[in-house]
Formats: sequence, C-alpha cells, structure tokens
Amino acid sequence: MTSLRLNPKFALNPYLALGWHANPFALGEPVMAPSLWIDRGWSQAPVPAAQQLVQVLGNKGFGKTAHLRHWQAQTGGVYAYYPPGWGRFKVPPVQTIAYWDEADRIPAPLLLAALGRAARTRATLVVGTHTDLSRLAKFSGLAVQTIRLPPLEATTLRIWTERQIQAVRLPTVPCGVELSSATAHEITAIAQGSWRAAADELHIWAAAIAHQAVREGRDRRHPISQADLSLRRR
Amino acid sequence: MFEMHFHNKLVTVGNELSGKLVWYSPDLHLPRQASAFVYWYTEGRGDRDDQTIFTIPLQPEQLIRDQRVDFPFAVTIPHSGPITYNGSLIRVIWAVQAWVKLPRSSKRDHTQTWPFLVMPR
Amino acid sequence: MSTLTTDQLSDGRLIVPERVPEGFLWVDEKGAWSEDNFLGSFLFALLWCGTSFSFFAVWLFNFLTAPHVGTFLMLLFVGVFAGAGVGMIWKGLRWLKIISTFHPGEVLLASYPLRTGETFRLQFRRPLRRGYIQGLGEITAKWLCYEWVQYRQGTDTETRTHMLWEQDLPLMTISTGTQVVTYETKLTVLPEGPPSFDAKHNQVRWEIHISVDVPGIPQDTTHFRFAVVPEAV
Repeated sequence: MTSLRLNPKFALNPYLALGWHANPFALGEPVMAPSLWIDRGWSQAPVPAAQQLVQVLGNKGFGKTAHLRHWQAQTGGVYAYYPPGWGRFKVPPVQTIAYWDEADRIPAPLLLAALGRAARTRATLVVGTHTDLSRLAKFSGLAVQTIRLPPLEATTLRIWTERQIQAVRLPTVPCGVELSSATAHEITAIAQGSWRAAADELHIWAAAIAHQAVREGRDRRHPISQADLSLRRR
Repeated sequence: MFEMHFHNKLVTVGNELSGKLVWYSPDLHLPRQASAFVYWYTEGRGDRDDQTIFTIPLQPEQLIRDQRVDFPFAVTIPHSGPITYNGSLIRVIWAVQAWVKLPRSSKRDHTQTWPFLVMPR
Repeated sequence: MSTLTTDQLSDGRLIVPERVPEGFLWVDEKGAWSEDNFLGSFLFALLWCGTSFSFFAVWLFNFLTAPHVGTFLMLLFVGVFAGAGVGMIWKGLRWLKIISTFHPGEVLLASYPLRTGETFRLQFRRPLRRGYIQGLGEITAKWLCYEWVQYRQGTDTETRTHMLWEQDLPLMTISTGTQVVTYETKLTVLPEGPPSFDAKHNQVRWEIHISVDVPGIPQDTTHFRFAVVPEAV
C-alpha cells in the first residue's frame, strides 16, 4: 500500500525506489533465461539416442521441470507433461530424446509399452518423477541414470537472488540491495528446500524493502545493507 | 509512434480519466492493424489477471504518415475499482496501451504503455 | 503469522448477501445440507473405500497366511489408500455430526458493502436443529485481511497467501441450555487497509472466521468474506 503523499512515480511503481523496474520474483520474469540459470551440477543435457532413462527425482518445487526444460532447450525433442486425472491417459511420445514430466502419473501399461519402445529404438528418455522408475526401465532394457535434486540451500539462494535482481535492474542505476545470509537461511527454512516457495518469500521480501525505501524516501545511491524480514510479519 | 497526453494522471474511482492519444510517424510502413485501450492488469506472484475497461476508437486507416492525428478519449473508472495497488504478492496496475501491427515486410509489432494512478474515493 | 494453512482458507467466493429488513444476511452454504454434494461425496467415498478396503483385506490375508517382505510392502502400499479411505469416513462423519446438530451459520450486517475506515456491528447466529447445548462452550473469532494468489509453475498449481492484517476478537462463552449460538461484535475496516480485490488468480480478501466449540460436537469454523469498496468513510 503505497501512499500518494510519497513520490507519485513510486506510487505507480515502488520498485523504482530501489532502481528496479519490477519485483525480481514476480511471475513472468525471465527465470528460465540462460543468463539466470544456476548450475547445480547437472546443466549439461543428457546424450540423445543412448538407450537410456535419465530420471530426475526430487520433491515438489525442487527444480525438476526447470532442469527438463533447460536440457530440452539444448537438445530439442518432445516434452510431455502428465497431469493428474484423466489427462494422464495419453501415449508417452518416444523420439531420439523425449522428456516426460510427472512420469510417475503415467498408467503402468502405457509406461511399460513406451519404455519397451524406447529400448528398441535406442532412445533417450528424460523423466521428472517423484517415484523411482529404474526397475521398470532396466526391465525394459534401458540403462538408467538417476539424478536426485537436493533441496535449495542458503548459498544458492543468495546467488539466485543476486541474478534475479540483476535481471530487473534499471541501466545506470546503482543497486545496493543484497539478501543477507541470515535472511537467506530464514527463507530456506520456511521454504523447506522448494525453489518456488522460496520465490514466494523473496517476492514478499522484495516488496517489503521497496515499500520501506519509498516510505523512507531513501536515496537509492545509498545501499540497503540489511532488509528487515520481520516486515513481512506485520 | 504514439504520444499520450493525460489530462489527469491521477484519478479517483467513479471519476473520469481523459486524455489524448497522438499519432505521428514518419515511418514508411503504416500499420495494418491498430488498437488502444484502457485496462488494468496484475503483476506479482499470481498468474496474471487483466480487464479492458474501455477501447479507444482507432482505425489503422486513420494513421497517416507525417501527419499528427489526435484520438481524444474519456472513460469513467468503475466505482468498484480496482484501485492501483502495490502489495506483497500482488500489484494492480492501470494503464493505457496502444498497439500497432506493422506490415509483414517490416516484421514488427509495436506496443506502448502509459500507466496512471487510480485512487480510492 | 504470514500465511494461512489450507484448513484456514475459505473457499474464496465473494457471495452477494440477501437483503433483509434488518440489513444484509449471509448464510454459510458449507454448513447447509446439500443432497447433490452429499450424494457425490458419498458415491466417491463408497467407490474409494470399497476398492481400497477390499485390496487391503486381500493383502492382509496374504500376509497373515504367507508373511514375507513382498506381501508386507504391498500391504503397506494398499494401506496408504485404505488409510485415506478411513480419513474420508472420519471427515464425513464429522461433517454429518456438525450439520445434524446446527443449522448453517448466518451473519447480519446493517450496511454493505463496507468502506475503508468504517466501524460496523456484526451479528452471528447459528441455531441448533434440536435440543440445547449441554456444558460450556466458546466462540472465538478473527477479523483478517490477506492477499491470495494462485499460479501455475512447473507442473503444479500453487496457492499462496500473505496476511496483511489480523485481529483476534474477544472470546465469548456459550452457556448450558443455549438453543441459538449468537455472537455480536464491533469491527473496523482498517483506514489504511486496501479495498477488496477479486480477480481469478489474485485477490485481496477481508474475512471473518468464527469458530464454535461446544462439548460433544467437533469444532467448526465458518468463514464469511466481505467486499470492501475503494471508498473512505
């Protein structure tokens, strides 16, 4: 809630007070842009046509879809998402390389048939899944590589935050905002390892410091060293 | 392409926003399609919501090269708002947007947006 | 508290109140008997429990007659579904107990919609269908304003809330012999608070949550959502 008694420019957009054009954690910001990608050890896409299943295991929000999409941008190939409900009853596509997201939802007969077809055509399947599909894949004749995505931790969160901020910075305007280590730890604890839950928290954090800067009429040439996370709990 | 002249860039709900959209372009490529509207949209953590409140009458054939063309407009902002809002998860932004689609040879769409403030009564 | 848990969230609909001589009346539809809702839920629970309980019985029998790791793991697997079925039955019975004891909750306001800075009187009533309250009970209530957003990211639809303002209202005791549970309070819409905003994925909500806790009946919370127009008093 931005008061008009303050600069009307900031009433239109409080993030200008920080030298940003928007909240760095708003949806629709270029989170997937290559320059914003955070390497967590698996940035290189799997090799196509290798008669293998690469399964990415991890809890909700740990980055399974982000990895699948990042690799697909490198290799091409089809991407299929399996929703809950009746939408899961669709034949999984098999190409030189194919990406199946939420593959644990694929009904067993369709899954087995597609795995068999992938083995026969020497395809590479890359799947995001909550359950281990390695036994089925080996049974079908595919080699298996398992990637278990770890939960988000504070250091990575700080790097990610810095990159997201860089992406919304107005040119030529200095920006002194940084996520303190204590706040990063607090956010990762609240988010329980999930990137999207962390992004929710960071959005609130960024909104709070923007409003604080507007209220205080802060000169943005002076850095904000420590954002007050407790603002979120008013 | 367009210039925007608001008579009042700050308007309370239930009152009128008025202004003038001015076209001027020395460009050889005149638009094949054009539209302009007053709308609000959301930004933030939620998926985007938006609503057009008023469409400014504007035809591409009215956009003539090297000639200034005025498109005055006036629209009453609904009593129910929404108002301009900068929250923790949500922003509500009011704006006038003009959009032109240029001929295929130039392969360009051109969008311009001018935000304004809507306040409670 | 910066966020609401799933249980604390209202269903989110902004209901148009009924105009009555005393003002504006809201009736909590969730607390009312609905044959369509009941039949749908009943048939789903029947199908779920029938299937999961049968599988569980079969694998329990297999495990008891020939115990080994494989049958035990299978028993655990079907046990999860059977457990969900038990949860469904428990929730259903709880709901039946509440709606067979109480009529739906109602809220009455003298004027509506609300304006920022406005102070108003709210009356809540929830009559018993029959009999009276035995033992002492209590009503607790909260008046709150929060942001609610929904977004799709990755492959999931996420819902997130952020509390902007929250006020615990005075607790009231329900005495033995009560036939109509009533609660009356004075509330103020925060003058600097935001008006309501009601879009599909983004909302600013003003709500009152009223919990009725009486002996022998599961605690039940009724949510009422009000529109606050962008107009100061």
